[in-house]
Amino acid sequence: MTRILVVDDEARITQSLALNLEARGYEVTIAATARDALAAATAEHPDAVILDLGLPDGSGHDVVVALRERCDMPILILSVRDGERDKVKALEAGADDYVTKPFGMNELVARLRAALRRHQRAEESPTIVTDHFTIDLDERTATVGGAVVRLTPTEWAVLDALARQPGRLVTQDQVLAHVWPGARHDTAALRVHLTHLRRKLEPDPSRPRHIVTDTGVGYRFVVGTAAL
Amino acid sequence: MRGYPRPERPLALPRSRQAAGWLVLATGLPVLTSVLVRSDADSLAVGLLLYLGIVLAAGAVGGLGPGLVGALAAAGSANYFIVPPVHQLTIDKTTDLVALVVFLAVAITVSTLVHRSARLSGEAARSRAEAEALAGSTATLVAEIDPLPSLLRQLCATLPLEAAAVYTRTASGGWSVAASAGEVGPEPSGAEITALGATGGPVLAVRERGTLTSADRALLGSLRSHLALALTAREIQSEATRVAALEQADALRTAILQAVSHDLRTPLASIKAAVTSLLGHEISWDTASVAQFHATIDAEADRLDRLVGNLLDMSRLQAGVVHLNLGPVVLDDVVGSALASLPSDAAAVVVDIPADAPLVRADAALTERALANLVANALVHSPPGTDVLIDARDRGDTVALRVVDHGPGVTAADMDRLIEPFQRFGDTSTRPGVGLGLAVAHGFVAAMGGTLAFETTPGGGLTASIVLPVHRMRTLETA
Repeated sequence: MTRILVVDDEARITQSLALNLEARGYEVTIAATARDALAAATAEHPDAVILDLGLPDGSGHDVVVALRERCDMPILILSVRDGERDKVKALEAGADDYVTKPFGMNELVARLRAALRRHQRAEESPTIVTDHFTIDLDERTATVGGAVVRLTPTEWAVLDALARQPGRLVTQDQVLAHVWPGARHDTAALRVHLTHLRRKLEPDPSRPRHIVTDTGVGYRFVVGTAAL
Repeated sequence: MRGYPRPERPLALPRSRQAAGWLVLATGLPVLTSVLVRSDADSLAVGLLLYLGIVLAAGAVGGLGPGLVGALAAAGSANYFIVPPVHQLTIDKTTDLVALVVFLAVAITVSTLVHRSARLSGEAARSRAEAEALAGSTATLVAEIDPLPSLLRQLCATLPLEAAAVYTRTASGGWSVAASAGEVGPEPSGAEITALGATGGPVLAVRERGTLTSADRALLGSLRSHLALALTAREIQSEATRVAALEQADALRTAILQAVSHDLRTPLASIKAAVTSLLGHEISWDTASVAQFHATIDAEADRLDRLVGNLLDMSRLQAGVVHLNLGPVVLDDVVGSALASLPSDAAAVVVDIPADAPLVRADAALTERALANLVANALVHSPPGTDVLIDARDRGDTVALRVVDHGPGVTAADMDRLIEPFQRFGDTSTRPGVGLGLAVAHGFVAAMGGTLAFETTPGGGLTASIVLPVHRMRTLETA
């Protein structure tokens, strides 16, 4: 049984979340404060956490940090704060995804499932097959419609940072650190490489479906066409 | 720092000292001559030494003029009255001639030396005073946040000035006094007006008490640069204050926007979560769940409506467009309708209005909104299991409609800030309401001519009182 810890001090939100998650076969634990959240995480070992950032007894950012110190379950932020700084801060602290309120229940559940899948996959799959292209991250081969496409080493590094964990929101700094470790961060160069990648892989590079930008925060590699 | 400029001509002794020197000479020489003539002592050496004494005294007091004139006059007197042959300017003995010539040379040399030493010590004292003035002014410049007034006071104390002031140009082209010492007019006037910095910019005007010497002017020049520095420091300071105020206003605006967006989006999030649950095809909900989603949508829509209502009320209050409809109001009615406007979990409210409570003169709708906001605030801060009490206290001319809670209360310091809009104590983001409720309540009560008072509930908690005037019935004028 998959157990989800829902942390929010808005009773009506947690109630709706609990109804939805239980109807989909999850077990739900509810915590309304940061202290209860950490206690429940320790006592019940949830498989994933849905966390609000504004808690009565502290910031959700601190909860992310504290949770990450003891376990590595997926953490999904659910917050009214839609500023880029809040998002980046939470993701850098170790959160897996960020959903802003108000949210659609289907989207939230889809994001949660994606996070759980990512986490439960014992070994990262090096091969990614979409309906438009196929890539093998270990072999470093890419084919679009059966034809081999050549990617530069830097483009492979960018793709590696994103596609190893499909669906996960990766911040710009995390991509930069992966591609150019220790170097001064050059966001303009990263954008150029992303543009090249999209031209080579995306069916419509001006409307990317697989290498998606979350403006001001980072990027997400999407395998399926379903909106995430 | 700039070097202190040397005066362009030697300092002259004051006239009084010069006169004293001439006086010493004019009285000393005849007296000594007559004494020497009458005495039988025939010693030229003693006579010349005594003359030398008079000459040196005259030179020391009166300067070079009395010294030189004294030397010549003393030599002449000694020759004429004392050196044989007496009463003739001829000299018999060679030794006497030598003595007189040596006397003259010594007297002139010593007079010159005395004069120069007096002048040098005068200059030294002057330089020291100027150095002290400059050092004092520099210290002021460094030590004080706004050194301009102190610098002007020091200027008046150091130099013979009655008044000094710094004027700056106003935007309209007029003058304003930036700082002053002594009596000054609203526009630059006086003996001396000099620019501080660029032409068309600030000026220094001074009114002299005596005549300024060239040394005084030089010192004034040095101190003027200090004044210009002080003025710049003041401009930088005021610029910094302005920037800080702007930043503060900006931070407040951001905080308000965040609070409003949080409070608008939270109920929206509940509604959207419930609606999208119902819309999804993945799950077929049972009746109980559907009812729960519907209840959530209903309650959160009401919450949103109250918030929007408070935001509109606040802007009406701030725009001053609250229309009053004052008349007799029955407290029971107002309490009933206020409670009806609150969510159904307002069950923890106990109402204790005496049956004979007087009518108040108020606007029924505004009183209801104010009371509803106070009760909503009290409910939010009430721990589970405690009641919120609404009662009324007859105080003769006024009635206090009170909302008593047993929550955490507020500190005395926070009590005054309760009615400021967008205030929320304790945690910052998750309590319901952006802190508009109490501000709106206060605005409405004040608009009706009443007062909203807060005090600590005995035993802990907050008691809010809407104090309204009692409505006096006109006596029935029956015949």
